Amino acid sequence: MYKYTALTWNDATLLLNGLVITVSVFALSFVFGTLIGFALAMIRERRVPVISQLAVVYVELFRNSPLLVQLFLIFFGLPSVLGVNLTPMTAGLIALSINTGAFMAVIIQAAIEEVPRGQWEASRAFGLGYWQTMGYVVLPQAVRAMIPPTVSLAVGQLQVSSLISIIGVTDFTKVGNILNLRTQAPYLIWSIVGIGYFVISKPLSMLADWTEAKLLRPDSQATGRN
Amino acid sequence: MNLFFVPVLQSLPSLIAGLGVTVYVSVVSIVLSLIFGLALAIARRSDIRVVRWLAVAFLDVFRNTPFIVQLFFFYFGLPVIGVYWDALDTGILALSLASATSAAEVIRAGIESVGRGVIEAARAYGLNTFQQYRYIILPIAFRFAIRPLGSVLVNLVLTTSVLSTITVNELMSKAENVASETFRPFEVYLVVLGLFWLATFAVSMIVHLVSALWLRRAIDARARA
Repeated sequence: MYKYTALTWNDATLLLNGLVITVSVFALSFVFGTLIGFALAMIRERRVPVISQLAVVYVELFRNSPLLVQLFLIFFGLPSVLGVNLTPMTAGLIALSINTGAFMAVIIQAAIEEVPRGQWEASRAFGLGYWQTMGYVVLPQAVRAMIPPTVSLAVGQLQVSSLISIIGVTDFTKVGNILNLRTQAPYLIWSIVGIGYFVISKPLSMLADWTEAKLLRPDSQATGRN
Repeated sequence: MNLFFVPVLQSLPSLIAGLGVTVYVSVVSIVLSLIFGLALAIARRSDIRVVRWLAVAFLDVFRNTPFIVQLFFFYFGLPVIGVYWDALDTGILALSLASATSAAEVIRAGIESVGRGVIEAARAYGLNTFQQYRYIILPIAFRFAIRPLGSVLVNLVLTTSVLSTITVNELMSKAENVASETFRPFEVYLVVLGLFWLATFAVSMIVHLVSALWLRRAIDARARA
């Protein structure tokens, strides 16, 4: 009879590789997502005619549909309509960035709107242009309101990045899946994987709580997700 | 780029059947997660230290691990200890627990926005802990919490899609079948995106309606007094 093999030290390196992939995919997609979010928020702020409405559709659609469907749409869907071939890793990065972008757009826009209108008028009266006002006056103030929801979004995005394992990226969850099938010790494996995620995620969520207590009044609610 | 929706529209009945399962899972999980979430939020404030610590530990663990890992933990783990639930029930359990933690966070924030003076006044009137929660704290807390609760519930509906990984026959897994039958993945997932969007739209409308009715009743009650 085939005997299930126990965990070996080699598996530790597998797990570590998975963890590195998870963290880098998360970090990279969060940076791209933040850039997308900024671009969307700026388009909305300037009320660029058609693009602005498209930005609303983008944000609404990607905030209100499952990341898993977005992943499949990009990984399985794009090759069939555009003829491009995406590796699971690229598709995962694109989907996560797009998803993060939609949530960041809302956070950034809300933060910008929290800055009193008088600031705009004063800056214009001082002769600053639109971008100068945005860059030197409004954004520096808005960043304060942006940080807490951004950090708690990051906690959520780190968690959902695990979904890229479903399209075949060998991230931390995927390694867990493989080891689970081989060792048939689900409690052990998924506990190890859970602890791995916890170790990365806990400092982030402590940072989220801390920034929330430091920078925010209790009435503004963050857009958290899991 | 040429889109061709006919095969997808032909398999729409199958997708709608999947949507039915998604709605069922969502409704059951919403009810359970609100109950668990409320219990957790109250346990988090308990005077008994052990209860408080357990609640904090539970919230911490579920907040900081991915849903899919929790799901696999239950799905592969439960049979090991001799609990043979089917995928649907296991999925509902995992989803309810995961959403209960985010619901608990929101409800706790609501409870914390109730003024200390109000709670002290309730205690001074001789209300016991249950009465304080039932008549004073929770009615106020839920008024603060209902909108953020809406986004927790929307997120719950979206997360049901992950149950497709443990063979629950909901919308997402139906979509995978349809995509592989029609060879039209982009169109299928686009339609599914729309269906999920509709589902979340329905949830936010219901939350909106409930909160409006709630506020209305509160205003009426004040007018009568």
